[in-house]
Amino acid sequence: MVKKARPPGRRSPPTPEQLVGRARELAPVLRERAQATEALRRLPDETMRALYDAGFLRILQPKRYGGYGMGWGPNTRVARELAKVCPSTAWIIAVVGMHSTVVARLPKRCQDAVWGTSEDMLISTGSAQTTGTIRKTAEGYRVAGTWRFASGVDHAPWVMVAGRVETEDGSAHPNARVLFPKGEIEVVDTWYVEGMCGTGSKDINVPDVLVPEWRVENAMRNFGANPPGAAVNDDYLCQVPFQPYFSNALFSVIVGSAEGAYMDYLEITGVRKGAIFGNPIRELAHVQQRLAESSAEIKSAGLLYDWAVRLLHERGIARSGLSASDSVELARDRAFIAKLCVSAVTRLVRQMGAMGLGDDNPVQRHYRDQLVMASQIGANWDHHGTAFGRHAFGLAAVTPGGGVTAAAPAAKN
Amino acid sequence: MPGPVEDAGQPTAERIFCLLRRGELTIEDTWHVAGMRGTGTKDVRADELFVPAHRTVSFKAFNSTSPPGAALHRAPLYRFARGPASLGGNILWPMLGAAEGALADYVAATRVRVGALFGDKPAEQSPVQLRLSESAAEIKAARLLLEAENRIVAGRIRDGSAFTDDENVELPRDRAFAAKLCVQAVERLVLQMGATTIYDPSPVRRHFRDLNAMATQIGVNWDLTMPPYARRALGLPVAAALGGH
Repeated sequence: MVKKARPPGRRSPPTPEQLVGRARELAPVLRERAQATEALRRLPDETMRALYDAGFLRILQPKRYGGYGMGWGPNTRVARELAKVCPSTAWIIAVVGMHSTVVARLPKRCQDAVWGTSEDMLISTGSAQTTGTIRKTAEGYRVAGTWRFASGVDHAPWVMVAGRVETEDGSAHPNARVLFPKGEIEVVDTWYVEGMCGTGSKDINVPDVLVPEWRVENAMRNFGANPPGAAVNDDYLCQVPFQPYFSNALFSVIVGSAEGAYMDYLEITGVRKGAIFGNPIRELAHVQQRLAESSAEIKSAGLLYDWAVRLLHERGIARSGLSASDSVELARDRAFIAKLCVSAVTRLVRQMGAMGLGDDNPVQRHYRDQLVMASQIGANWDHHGTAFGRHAFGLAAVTPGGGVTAAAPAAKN
Repeated sequence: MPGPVEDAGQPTAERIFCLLRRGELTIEDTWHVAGMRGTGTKDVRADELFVPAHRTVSFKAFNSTSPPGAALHRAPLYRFARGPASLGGNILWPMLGAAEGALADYVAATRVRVGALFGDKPAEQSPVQLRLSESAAEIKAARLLLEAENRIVAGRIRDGSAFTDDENVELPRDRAFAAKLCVQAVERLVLQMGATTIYDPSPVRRHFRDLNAMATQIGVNWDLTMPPYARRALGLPVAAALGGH
């Protein structure tokens, strides 16, 4: 394995508190850099370096490859802290950083290849299959075309794409995850968007590559209980069904961003004077009402998020997986968290008047970031609210394709 | 009974509590109200009673860290430093319980409900499912807020330390917000239930009336509890709030 400079604390991994402390130390410079990061539409190289040096990309990395192999929680705490000043930077930790676990669940050969390249590792994933195709042929898997939303791809030495698999005889085949060294793919810069610009979530184009079988994994097996990687990594995150954890990650960024928007709003509004009459804005009773209501909403969102992280960690330690009731409740709460945060930040930014429109206004940036994050399917209220309601009423769940599952589990409420 | 003290017919600033035997008072049945009927919260009338001094206590002493009862009872509950952060929390737990009960009753009723006119099943309609989810999430958020608050209050009572200025504005804000969440959560359910539930035995509607009645308490008054929090956050002086502060 190639040995790179080890971050301080390699021999004794940092505690979660130390990691959160490092995030707080980094916050002022990341806050200073947030507007430039947005304009760059990817993380600046020096930010990426700082994230590696702080050890944030090692939180979920397996111990055998120089990581800390921590359970669920320290990663979301760090991301929430970073999101207060720069949601895009936080996204690289919460969402892209989590792909360490996805790789840690692959067969050992994949893990040796990825972390053998460097122990400072970022793995970017093209999550949405657009023109991309994966074809199973006699020689192996032929992959070609484009995948969207590859956050952090400019900085990632390895990438993955995921999607449906076509077979020559039209027979069914499970969806696959395909692993590529960066040199085999092209980055297509399509990332001109209204928020979360700094994540650099560009397209991946694969120019017709024949991929050896060992770099292709059954996506269901990868996220299911005891995937191949569980044979070499004993962290619970490598053993339990992974989807509930995966779905939880981005909400650390939504909550942190709302908390950051609130702090920025407070700082600006505390000294702001009306442009026309010069009156102190903070004296207005309706401004105070808005502030208090938004702060209560954000606190509620934070408590719901803490509850979810605690539940996931407890279930992880117990290796028990989640019940159907847990799953629909967690999904409902996620969507509700997003609803609360968007509502809270919208109420604040609308109060800021035309000065709130500027690119240099951090509340405005948080607001746009919120809207972009809340457009994720995992935050979709109609989808997850309906699923919880059906469960509570004892009705069968509706599958993504519109079908209905056979049995309705017992409702909790 | 609490009340202001007059001296020679003139009002004074002093307020006291008087302890009275029920036999000394006349109960007046004025409790014909929209909600919380079962509490029997009637008026009591005192007709020129003489109350000995030992059955009175001033608000000031009562709210201090050494009220008269503290000499008799060791428990920290009888001597903790009261403040806006500690007042009013007691009504939130019945409110939360009523909201949780309403939710459970609503789910039970709606699971089997069939539309009176067309025989449709409201439970299968996505707008109904979304209402339920939003109300359930709001009630859960209220519970988490109250549990977080309870941990702080219990800690202050246990170690006898004073509430911080932040707690004295944040906890009342959270209580008012939790009350608002409970009321709007149950209102959303009630509004979906249709005319067959307007008759008196409907438990969801009774819970809703009870919640509305409890939400009229000054401790959860939205307009009063929001400004102190915001004024402190914005660096403005916090006007004298509830509870003699």
